[in-house]
Amino acid sequence: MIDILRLTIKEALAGLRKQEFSAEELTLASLKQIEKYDKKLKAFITVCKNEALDKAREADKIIAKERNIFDRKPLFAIPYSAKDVFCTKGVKSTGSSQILKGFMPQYNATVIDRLDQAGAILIGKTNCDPFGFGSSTENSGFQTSRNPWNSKKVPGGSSGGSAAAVASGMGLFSIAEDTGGSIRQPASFCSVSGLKVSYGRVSRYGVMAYASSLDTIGPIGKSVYDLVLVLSIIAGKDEMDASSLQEIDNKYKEALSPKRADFKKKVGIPKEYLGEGIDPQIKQAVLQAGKVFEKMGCRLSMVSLPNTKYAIAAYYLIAMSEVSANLARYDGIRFGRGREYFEPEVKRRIMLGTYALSSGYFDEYYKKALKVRTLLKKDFDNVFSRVDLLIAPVSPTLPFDIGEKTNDPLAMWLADAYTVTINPAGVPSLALPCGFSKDNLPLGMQIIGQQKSEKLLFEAGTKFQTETNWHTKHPDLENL
Amino acid sequence: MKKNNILPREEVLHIAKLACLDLSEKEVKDFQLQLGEILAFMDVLKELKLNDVKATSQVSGLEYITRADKIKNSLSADEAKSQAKKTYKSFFQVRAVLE
Repeated sequence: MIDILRLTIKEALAGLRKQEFSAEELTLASLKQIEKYDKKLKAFITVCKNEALDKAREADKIIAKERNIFDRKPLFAIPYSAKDVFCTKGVKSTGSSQILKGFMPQYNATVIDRLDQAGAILIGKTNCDPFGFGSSTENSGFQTSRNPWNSKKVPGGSSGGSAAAVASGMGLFSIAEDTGGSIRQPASFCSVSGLKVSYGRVSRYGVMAYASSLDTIGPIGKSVYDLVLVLSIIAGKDEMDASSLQEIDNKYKEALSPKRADFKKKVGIPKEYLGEGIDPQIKQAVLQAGKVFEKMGCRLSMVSLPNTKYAIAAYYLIAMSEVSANLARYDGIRFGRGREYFEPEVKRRIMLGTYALSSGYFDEYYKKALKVRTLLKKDFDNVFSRVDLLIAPVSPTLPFDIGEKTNDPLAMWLADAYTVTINPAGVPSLALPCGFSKDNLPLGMQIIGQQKSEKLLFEAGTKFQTETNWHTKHPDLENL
Repeated sequence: MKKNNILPREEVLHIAKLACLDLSEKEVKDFQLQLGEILAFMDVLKELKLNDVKATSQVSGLEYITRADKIKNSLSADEAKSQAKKTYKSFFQVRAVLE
């Protein structure tokens, strides 16, 4: 019997190697979770049941012939989901927007191709805010996903379907996209681990563009270990994405077996992230996590990112401006439907971006935001000349009620206060579970490093998850 | 410019035209309020003195990335057309743009 709710990729690979279960049984177990619980959770927009089962049966035949296939294909027979913003050949890809209802891409995103080549099996496409525009999945043109820890609450967003799916055992990992927190905040709301990579670390080819200078692709999984396994496959130069980075430090797996037992790093907590408006339970959990880092051998100090208060305004001006340009492609000619099918939040963001770029306002808004971006990046450069890592909360608030913020777009944007600051600087950030509220709602923290420091983040995260067991807690799906 | 954080109606209509969006009467009213409120929030940036600060448009550190000019396989015309509503022979069909 497979305990799919708890099973990690690491354990699944071991089980498949030892033939404790078959690839078909593993994929079937994931699909059964969807059948049992997704009517309530609404994490998936499309489920590829038959295709996934066919692939799994095929995988079993290969395993019978080639026992060591896992050395050649490191994610062989591992079921996963992808946020619906990824183009998947022959599988509907809507971006969770009505404008792309029924859209069937003619090609795969590079990330999907790489996972395919590594043997992973796509079981379905997950719900999100349309094109990633939101923090709760409530802006989706199809459905609102629910938090597996409390179905009255949002799962976070925009990749809420992905996080809810991983937390519920519907696939062992999900591939998602983070422009201003869209991986970290839902991972935090659903008590799973998620990685926002350095800008350019993973190819964006075939991913519906939100804001091209901020978009990053990364995994959501049940442990840091699992994220390492997935990033090892998807990272790296892709000639189809001119902004993708040459891999210079890609031995991520070394982070899983560190040479030294202690972890003598300088760790900073930015004071601006613990200030006004933060839920005291989250603050407490992050300070407690700081103590864990001290126990690991780190030296802890309070630091400052002085321009944080300007980050939300600058982020939204830059992001919306890029949105207005990127979404001009939806003209209903080559694919998709007419622009009247855009959801209200999509129209709102296009309107704001068009305004910020329009004659007379360009200098006052867009250009000014780009200058503030320079200051935000300098803040991180300065702080990383003094410390190796930062730890901070992911969200100032606990998972909120469905409907609580839907009538106030600005309040919804402010929920991203601690995540949008990271993307303009292009630095990586690893979101991890770090506790539960008194009402048993997940609390999350992020470990932020300088550009291209994923390996160090993985080392810190693995050590943290050795010292703590928050990531091994799972929701009670029987009482949703 | 905005008064009491309400964006003038004609400005909303002008932006909608630039963005190729047909807005309903309700959407126009909603956006007057919502965009007005959001833009007022953006005014926080006015506190900063930015004359000597350079703009940053991207952070990858990469410049002038090109790929080899080699012919590779691409989608067939039929595949490329497969998601279009209106096609004619091997073309996408669009409305006339010239009278």
